[in-house]
Order: sequence, then structure tokens, then C-alpha cells
Amino acid sequence: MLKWWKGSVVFISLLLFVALLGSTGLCEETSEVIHKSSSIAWWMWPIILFIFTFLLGMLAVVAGVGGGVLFVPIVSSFFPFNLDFVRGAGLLVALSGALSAGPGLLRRGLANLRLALPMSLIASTCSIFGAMVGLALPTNVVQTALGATIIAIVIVMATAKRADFPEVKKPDALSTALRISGVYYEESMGKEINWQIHRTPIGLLFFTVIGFMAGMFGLGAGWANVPVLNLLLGAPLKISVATSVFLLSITDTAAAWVYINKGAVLPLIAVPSVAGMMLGTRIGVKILARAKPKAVKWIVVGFLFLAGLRALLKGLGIWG
Amino acid sequence: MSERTKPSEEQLKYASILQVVGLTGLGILIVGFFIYVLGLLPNIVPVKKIPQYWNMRVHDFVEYTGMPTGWGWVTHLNRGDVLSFLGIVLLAAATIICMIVVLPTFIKKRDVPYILILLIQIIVLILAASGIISGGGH
Repeated sequence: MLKWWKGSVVFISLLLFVALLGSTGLCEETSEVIHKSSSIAWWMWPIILFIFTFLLGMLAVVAGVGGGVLFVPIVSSFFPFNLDFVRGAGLLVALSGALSAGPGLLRRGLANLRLALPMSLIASTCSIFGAMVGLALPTNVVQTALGATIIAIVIVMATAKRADFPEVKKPDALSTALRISGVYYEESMGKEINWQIHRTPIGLLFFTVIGFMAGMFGLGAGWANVPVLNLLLGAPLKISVATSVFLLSITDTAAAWVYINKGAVLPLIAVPSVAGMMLGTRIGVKILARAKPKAVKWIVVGFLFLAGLRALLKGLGIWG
Repeated sequence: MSERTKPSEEQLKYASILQVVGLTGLGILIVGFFIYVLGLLPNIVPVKKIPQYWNMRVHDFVEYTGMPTGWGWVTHLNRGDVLSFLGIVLLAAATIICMIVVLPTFIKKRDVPYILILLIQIIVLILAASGIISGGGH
């Protein structure tokens, strides 16, 4: 049974990888794909998108990579949708995931409201401006910047270290004034862990950039939130991951409104993506308990790198 | 869960509201989508024509199709495509609703920094939703 799960996950990863290679020019140009879209019955698209995002959601969990960050570069490589609509749907995918997970994480005391609110205020405000800039700039400029960002994300994913319980000798004045600290029960150790944070002003500065990028590219920002909360501010890893998910529900809300108001959220693209990603994520959680995700993670990261490279070269007019 | 690890009153309240609004939004999103794609209500843009436009930039799409932007959709709630949009709007509004609901708890505790943070956050989100700072609508 275990072998079957592992085999199927690796098979799906390879399938997506080969499909991406196909879409990156080895088979045909994007423009041809767009023309082809008219020959496919309209009702096929939501089904294809649902199946695709279902697989993507499953892989995202097994690989430990946020579904939101995979969605925009990969869907914009595979499908004939304009980047504006892919980013609108991407924000909704990340937002739905965060809204689903948020209540449970808050109730268990893993996501922390006091830690999240100051960060979210900065990030969400900047995400609005990011979204406005993203929708105003020419597509090739956004595509180039998206490609460069995705490659940077791959580097962060491949190199960033994580600390389960970072040492914070003394909290900074701002976090003390805001009373950002807490206690949570660490199941693996069977004891309560006290935590506090430091370097809050620098962290807030980082969240201006994270928020802007989340809004501009329609990406989930877990890849950036977690290292900042964990390595820079010194929150325990579990608190960082959970608070990052909750943070996305606020940051992406602000940017999502910009896309909604501009008409860049198409239900025909967004709804199957949300449904597929959420269902895939749930199945992925079950697979995760049985499969060893290391190899899958590297396949997905490689896949993301290729999607980023394609976006970069497409934006520069070199490839695709 | 011990008293020390129990989340604060406002955090638990936020979680409860988020769950209710989030699930309602997802439910409406799915139901609205089926009404839309099954053609149970008339659409502003016929669903089968959408693939002809989705490779356009958003401002060209709006120009060609005449789809309402900003809050223009409110007057078209009898249309399938707008109904499917309602779930999306509710998901995007979930955070604002939660913050408005937990604000009185912070006020009761006289937690001034967080009252200010929440107030500013609510204003920012409402401005974004209204289209005032996001430049939405016609």
C-alpha cells in the first residue's frame, strides 16, 4: 500500500514535469495553444483545470510547498489564460486555503492573532499597491519579474534552514509593548513551550516587500512568511508555519479585492481551481502520512524552477 | 489544553466567525458555479464565449464583454455569472467581518495598540473592497 502511494506521487510529479516540458516550447508555441483553446469544448476547461489543480494540490502538500506559489507560474505555463486572470485565481486559491485552515490553527493556539495582526497590517496594505502595479504594468514586464521572483523563491526553498525553537534571549521593545509572546503545547515533546520574538521592526520592513510581491504576482507568500517569522523574528517553527497560513488570509484578502474590482477574477477559472486545490490538499495530507516526501519535494522544486525560467524567458521575449 | 496554552477570547471568537463565513462562502461559491455553468439563469456573457476572451488582458476583457467592474455586479444578481461571483465576494469579505466582530473584545480589554491596528486594518480593507484605493469600477 505504502509503495503504491509513493509510486503514484512520483508518477504524478513526473507526469506534470513532462507536461511542463511539453508546454515550454518542445511541443508547441503558446500562441498555438491559445488558438487550440477554441477547438476544445468550453466545458472541458473547468474539468481539466479541476483535475490539474487537484494533482497540484496533492503534490504541494507532499512536497511541503504552498499550493498558492505553485499555481500562478504553473497554470500560466500550461493554460491559455491571460496572466491577469491567473493571478486573480491564484490569490483566491491561496485565500481559500488560508480561510479553511485558519480557524483550526487559531483554536489550537498555533496561529497567533497578536503576532499576525501587526504584520498583516503592513503586508496587506502593501499587497494592494502590489496588485495595482501588477495590473497596470505591461504583461511582459510582470512575466519577467514573476520569473525572476519564482527563481528566487526556488533558491530560498532550497537553501533556507529552519529552526524548531530559535533562541530569543531578549524580546525587542516593540514586541514587548505589543505583548507578542505565547505558550503552546508541543505534542512531540509532551510539554509547553514559551515563546517570544525579537527584531520586530526589521520583520515589519520585510513584510512590506512580501505583501507587495504577494499582490503583484497573486502568489501565496508562505515561502517568505515562514523564514521571516521563524529565522528573523525567532518564533518557533510550528507557530511560524501556522501564523503564516493565517497571515495569508489577511494579506491575500486585500489584494484579492483589487483583482475583484478590476474584473480579473473569472469564476470559470477561479472556482474549479479553488475546488481542485482544496480537494487535492486534503488527499495530499493523507498521502503525506504514508509517503516519504523528500524526492517529491525536489521534483516539485525543479518543476517550479522550470516554470520560473519559462516565465522569465517568455517575459524577455526569448522563449515562448 | 491548559489555561496557559488556551488561546485568548478574541482569537477564539475570530476562529469561530472565520469558520462560519469561510464555509458559507465556499458553499455559495460551489452552488453559484453550478447555476452558472448549467445555465440555470441567464448570463451577462454566455459561458461558452468566455474562452474567446480569457487570453485578453483584463481591461480589454471588460471592454469587449461589458462585464460590470467594482460593485456594478450588485445590480445583476439575477444573472448566473454574477451569482457565481457572490461566493468569491463573501470569501474576500470574511476577514473584514471577523475583524469587525472581534474589535469590541479588544475595546473591552482596553488594548489600545491593537484597537488602533484593527481599526486601521479594517479601514484599509474596506477602502480596498470599495475600490477607492484599488481603482476599481467604472
